[in-house]
Amino acid sequence: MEKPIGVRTGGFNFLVRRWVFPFKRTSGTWAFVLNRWSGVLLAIYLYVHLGILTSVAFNPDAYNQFLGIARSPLGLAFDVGLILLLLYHGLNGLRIIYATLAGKIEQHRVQFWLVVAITLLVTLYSAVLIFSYE
Amino acid sequence: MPQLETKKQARQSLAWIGQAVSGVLLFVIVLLHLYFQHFAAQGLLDAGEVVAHVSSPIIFALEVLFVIVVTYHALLGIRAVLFDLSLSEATRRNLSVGLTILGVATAGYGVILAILIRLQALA
Repeated sequence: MEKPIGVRTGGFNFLVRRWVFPFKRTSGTWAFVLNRWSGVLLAIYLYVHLGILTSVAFNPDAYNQFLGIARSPLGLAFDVGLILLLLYHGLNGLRIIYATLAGKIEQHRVQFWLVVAITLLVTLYSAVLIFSYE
Repeated sequence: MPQLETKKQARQSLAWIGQAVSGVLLFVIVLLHLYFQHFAAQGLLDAGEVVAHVSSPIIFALEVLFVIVVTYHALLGIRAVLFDLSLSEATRRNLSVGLTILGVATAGYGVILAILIRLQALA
């Protein structure tokens, strides 16, 4: 039987396995793992974003040159990926708060798939807008 | 030591509440940031446009609030992730101190950047 989310058992190896190989597990574990990975990636991006903004303050020409890369299809795809991470992490966070405060944790499976559906739909819409601007 | 356990649980609850409150706030701020900086502008802004954008006091205040809240939320999240790795109490304490210093430095740097960019607009 699967261990409840948030219960720390089995030490480091168990945690790494659960983080890296969440396969054959419930949607609850997937929600947890995706939330963690998206959070870590967004935390890394915070520092990348501050680095990019540093060039606006100190070297605007370098920033404008960088925009050439950012406006390329690959750069725009990166932006779409970023919106995907932001939406999933944000909506899943709201789901956790709602489920905890409203006592609706048993319905986590439906809530998770709702979060995934909204994330994918809004990301798709954002992708259409982003690629139409450049 | 039941008293220590209670204090530890209280700290964890406080961290959870902090993460939840900053998360909700951040959700709203990120949507506003994306809308004003990218979608309303219909694309990525060049350096001059970013400077002009931050010249608005409302956008400037939003960006300053954004960098403070996002840093708090991100580093509290990293702390939670690292705390899951069966660390000793002493390591957890050192980690909390280290992440607090990193957070203050990051948010401070972000606020200084916003001020410098705004000063360019006012010059």
